[in-house]
Amino acid sequence: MIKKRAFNQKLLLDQLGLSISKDNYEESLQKLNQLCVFNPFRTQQFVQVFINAWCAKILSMLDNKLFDVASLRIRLLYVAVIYNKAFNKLLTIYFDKINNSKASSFLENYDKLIYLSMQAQYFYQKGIHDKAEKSVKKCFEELISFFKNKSQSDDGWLLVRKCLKNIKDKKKAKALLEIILQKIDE
Amino acid sequence: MWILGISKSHNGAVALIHDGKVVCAIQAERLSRIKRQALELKDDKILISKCVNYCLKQAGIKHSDLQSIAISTPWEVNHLKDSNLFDYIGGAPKNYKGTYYVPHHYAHVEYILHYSNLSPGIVLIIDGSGSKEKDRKYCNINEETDPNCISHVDAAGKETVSAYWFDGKKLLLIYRFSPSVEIFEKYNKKSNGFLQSIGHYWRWASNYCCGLHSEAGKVMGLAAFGNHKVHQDLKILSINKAGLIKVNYEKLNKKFNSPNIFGKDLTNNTHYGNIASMVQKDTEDILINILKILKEKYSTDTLYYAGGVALNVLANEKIIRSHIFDKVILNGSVEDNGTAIGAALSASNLLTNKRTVEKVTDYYGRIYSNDDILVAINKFPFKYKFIDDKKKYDIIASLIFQNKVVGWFQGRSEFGPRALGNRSILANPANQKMKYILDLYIKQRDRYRPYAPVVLEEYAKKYFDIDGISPVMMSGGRVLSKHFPAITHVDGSARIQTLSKNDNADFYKLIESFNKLSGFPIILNTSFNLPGEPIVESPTDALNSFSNGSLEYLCLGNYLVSRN
Repeated sequence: MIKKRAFNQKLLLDQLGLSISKDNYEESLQKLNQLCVFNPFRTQQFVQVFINAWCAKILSMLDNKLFDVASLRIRLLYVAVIYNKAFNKLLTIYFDKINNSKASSFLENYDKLIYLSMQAQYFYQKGIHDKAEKSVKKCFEELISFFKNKSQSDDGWLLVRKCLKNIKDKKKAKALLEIILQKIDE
Repeated sequence: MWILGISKSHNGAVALIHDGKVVCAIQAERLSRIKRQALELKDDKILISKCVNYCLKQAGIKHSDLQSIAISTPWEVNHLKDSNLFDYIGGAPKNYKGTYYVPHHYAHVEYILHYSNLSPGIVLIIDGSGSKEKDRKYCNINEETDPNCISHVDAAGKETVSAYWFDGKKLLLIYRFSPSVEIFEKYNKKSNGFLQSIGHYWRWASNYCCGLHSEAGKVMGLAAFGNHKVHQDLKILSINKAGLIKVNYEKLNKKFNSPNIFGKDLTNNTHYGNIASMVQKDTEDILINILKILKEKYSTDTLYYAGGVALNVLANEKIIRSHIFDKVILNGSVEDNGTAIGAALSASNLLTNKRTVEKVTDYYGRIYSNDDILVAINKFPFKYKFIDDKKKYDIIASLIFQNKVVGWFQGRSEFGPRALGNRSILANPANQKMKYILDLYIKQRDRYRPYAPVVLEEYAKKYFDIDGISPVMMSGGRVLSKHFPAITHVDGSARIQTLSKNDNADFYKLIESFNKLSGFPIILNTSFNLPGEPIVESPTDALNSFSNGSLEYLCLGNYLVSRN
């Protein structure tokens, strides 16, 4: 690796922080993108900063009972993050705070699928394995129609992968996967 | 003579050779359990001591028996006092003949020459980057240069491509591309940190398509999902008639500015597929061009090929099928881990004035006995039973035939990045759903990555369009049958391991048993690890992986472990 040419990394990081504090997701993503393009060798560190800052922002939204907007942001993060401790902690706090209210009843399509997948993770993290399994089953049922549109398959498989991690019984997880594979085939 | 080799690198490794033969080698990542673990020879003495002791234990010798230490690094060469160096290995040797600092590409060369019949040929080394030109004076193993050497060397440069003429005994440098690392160079100004290097072009692609700069293997898998013609006018990577290589990062960064920052599985997103395909095609083209330039000046039928870029199986296949050379010599540890072996061999050659050879292999790790395995098993709450050798192969083959996914832990661990049947996850290649099960559930891998088949060598040509053998999974070919969806990539190809009884008798017997049940001598073979982790090394690592993952069975030596 050669030394980086000067670009104002600090300014961009400040702008990233500012856009997150203003709850501007698109702008924050743009700033993150710029940082990663200019300094690609630090992509992972920038992503970490981005996730941590958004987790903090969503926590403050929850503290201020801004549940709708917090729900929207946490769903966006859920599909972006592969594994992150801070995010996992946030997810538990989120579900505890919204208290499994009717948060999902007004959700549709992909948003609903994400919610169900998140819910499965929440129950798994809490050790409530039967409920986690139920959420996965619900998510998989809804996913079958989602897969009919092939352009959505990357998003669909992401949720399948995430869901399967939240089933304690390995045999059941494999069986559920085989069922969804069969149904998608049909 | 016992010589220790150290790869002080982002892919750190230690190797032990005796009288010119490799006795043991271990990548630091296998012991630290951190993927691509670096060895820096700085403050952390524990890890390097672990690696050294691992090798000494396998050899049954002590640090005092060592007679030389050889170090290769792509970073700055910092000479250590012998007394400091001995701290890393556990004490002072009795009959020490010296410490050797070996230029990075030269260590790659000695590694690959070791696996040949020493016939004259061209040795090509391509990686991200190796030794700095300014550091050559600190190396006490030096290269000789052919007066007609094609040299594109900057005083502030780092070697990124080197080629040597090997006359059967001596080596002469015949080509070097060593571009400047200075930021004021025009070609570095808009490169965003990447060097003029084919390896760094792959780093760029890996970063752009996968969110991490060390995932060139993933990019290679993704390439099959794209169309290189979409960007064929860009000409990012080029070489002129004088052999000067150029990577046009300015154009690259101008054209492509939506990196897959979060490293999502975007199998169906043609943007990334097309870029991967472009990088793959560019690489294949430039390799052929370099080789043609070299062959024109140095006529030979043999190519020795190493360096990280040599892990690109698709490009290797293009080289083999170009028939520019009749023989292409490859082995599995062509990336920096292999320079631990290469450095030790360089010192050995110098001290004994003799070059030795061995057959291509990567089984250089430790063996764990059934007793070691049982001690580990008893720490975990799993069911297990002892199965003797007479039944072992049939039982495991039957499980695989029943579409169970099995962890297979036998014999000496592999040194390089490939699991070759001693630290492997095995599955039925004919199962329609197996790739989904592995991708989504067992391995949690991106869907665009293929799984490799292992086939008994004598049947390889019946099932695959393969030119020669591929004992360390370094070449590939088309799958000739449609009955193996789990190992057939989207473009109909596979990265193949051919297996002979001499390579690995245990694994051979297992595939023979599977053949009796299934009618085909092929098993899906993927590395035994969880996502983001290095391949398992010890029985405890394997059991941890079994515990945290979703494998159904685990065969450790003669013990079959299953879930309660």
